[in-house]
Amino acid sequence: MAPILVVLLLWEWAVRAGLTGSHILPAPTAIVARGMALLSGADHHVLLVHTWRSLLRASAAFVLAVMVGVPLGFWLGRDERAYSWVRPWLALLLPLPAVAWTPIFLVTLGQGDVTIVAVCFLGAVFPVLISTIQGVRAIAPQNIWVVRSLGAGPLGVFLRVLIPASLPTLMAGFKLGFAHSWRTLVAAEMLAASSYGLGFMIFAAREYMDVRTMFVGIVLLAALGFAFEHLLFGSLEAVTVHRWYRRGQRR
Amino acid sequence: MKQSLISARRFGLAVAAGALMLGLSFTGTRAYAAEPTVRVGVQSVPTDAVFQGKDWQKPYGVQREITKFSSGGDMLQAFIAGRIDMANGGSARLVTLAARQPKLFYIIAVDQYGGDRYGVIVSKNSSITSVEQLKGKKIGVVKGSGCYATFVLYLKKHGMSEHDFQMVNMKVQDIRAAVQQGVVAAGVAWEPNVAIAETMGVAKRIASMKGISESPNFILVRRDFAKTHHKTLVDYLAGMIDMGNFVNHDPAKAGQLAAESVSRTGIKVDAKALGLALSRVHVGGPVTDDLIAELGPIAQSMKASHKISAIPDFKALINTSFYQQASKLAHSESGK
Repeated sequence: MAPILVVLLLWEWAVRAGLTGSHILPAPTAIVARGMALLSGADHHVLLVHTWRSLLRASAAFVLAVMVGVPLGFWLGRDERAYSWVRPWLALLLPLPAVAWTPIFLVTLGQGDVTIVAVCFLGAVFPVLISTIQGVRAIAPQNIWVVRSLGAGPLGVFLRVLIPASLPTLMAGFKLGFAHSWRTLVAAEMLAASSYGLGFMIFAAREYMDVRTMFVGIVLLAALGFAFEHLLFGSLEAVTVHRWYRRGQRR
Repeated sequence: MKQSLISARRFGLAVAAGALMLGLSFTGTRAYAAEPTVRVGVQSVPTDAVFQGKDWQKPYGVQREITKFSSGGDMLQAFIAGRIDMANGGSARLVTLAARQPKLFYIIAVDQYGGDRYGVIVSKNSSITSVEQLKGKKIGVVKGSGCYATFVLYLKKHGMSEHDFQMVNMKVQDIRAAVQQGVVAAGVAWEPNVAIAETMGVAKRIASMKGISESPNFILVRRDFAKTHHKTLVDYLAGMIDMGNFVNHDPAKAGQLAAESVSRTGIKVDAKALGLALSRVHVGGPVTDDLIAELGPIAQSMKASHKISAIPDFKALINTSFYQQASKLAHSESGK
């Protein structure tokens, strides 16, 4: 935290000393004050509405990406022939920024939530899918043979070998997937949102040169991204990967 | 291992429950209307903020379904796709639409016009007081916009050409900062950008395009909608006439309404700035030959640069019957 605090103090000092115009770069205290005003009843708690809509869209896209990416990843990870067919497509689509699809979705799906979720889904699904494939492909076949020899069927192999063994890579994929969904969200909301969302707020504030509100949106996006990365997925890892692997090591 | 399986199942259940909740949250926001509804496209401009600030069509029993677009291009795409019934457009975009889809829409009224809504700004401390003094210097402009085309006409009228300056292409929202930071010596922008920069006290306007061209923006309606919703359209336009009268009669009050409307999305903007911006715009009115004639030179220039294959017949696109009936119905000049 110390490096962040030092930069914030320097920033505050630079604005107060007049080294930079507050209409270009507002002071951190001014951004906080604007954020508090947007949270208050005077502004109808509008910041909460923007944040909620953004979280809803990013989460919906992420959940869809997990629902599609994980089963598909398990199948492709286990089926060599199918993987050899799909791999060139993955190589082609992976480097393509999800936001590049926005104009196409705007034409086909229209302005609003569906387009934004679809674009964020494309941002999230590839990291989830590829991590799942890599996790499953890295499992030693001997592990599967042992469980099969003990009488386990396909479901038993899936639940007792594939899921636990691929979980660390799966978690990494989830983290990356959500981060991509979150980053894509801003650009998608700037182009496709018609009322609420942090990306929309930043874009609309720019239209009216409301620099402080723009910075509130930017800071909040960074803070929420950080919170998801470290608090949500960190906790999830603690109760799954760390716990299960520690127990395995103890045995 | 058993404990691990339980945890994995719980995790799966949590994901499924989350998906269900998210789905319900989205579907819960939909609303259904019984009154005749017009689907309208708007942008982040002061006139559209006034439109959103009050339900102008309510006295006439028409419901509005408003979709906000980030650009005029996106709005016209949605208009072509049939996602909105009404849009507004002018300049090159309207010419392109007229050339490619002439049977799709009618031009039924004027949305806004006036050269005064385009201005040249310099930094508040600048010693420059006229466009002539900017010769050889950098000017921030939005190339391809109606604003830029009008500025080129202004230069010609005053014996100059665009080659006398270094034109720097940028987004209109960045012009104020570029002028303030000294990246460019001046900027050519449209309202409310000019008025906001002036009200902030960071820039001053040295010239406006008043009298150069009116650069009209028109209200467009899809023909299929107009055919089946004649009365709804007349009622809708009556509300628009009330709104136009209100803005033209009292721009300061309209600015207040627009600022309140914008603030509902968390954006802070000075009502005085929007009032000033609206005082430089004429809102609404019937489609006149003079205003339509302004599309001619744009179309000719676009044909010369092979952007369109033929010059559209603009008169065939005009339908004034809706406006004529609406003007008899409209009952307010102050918008109260």
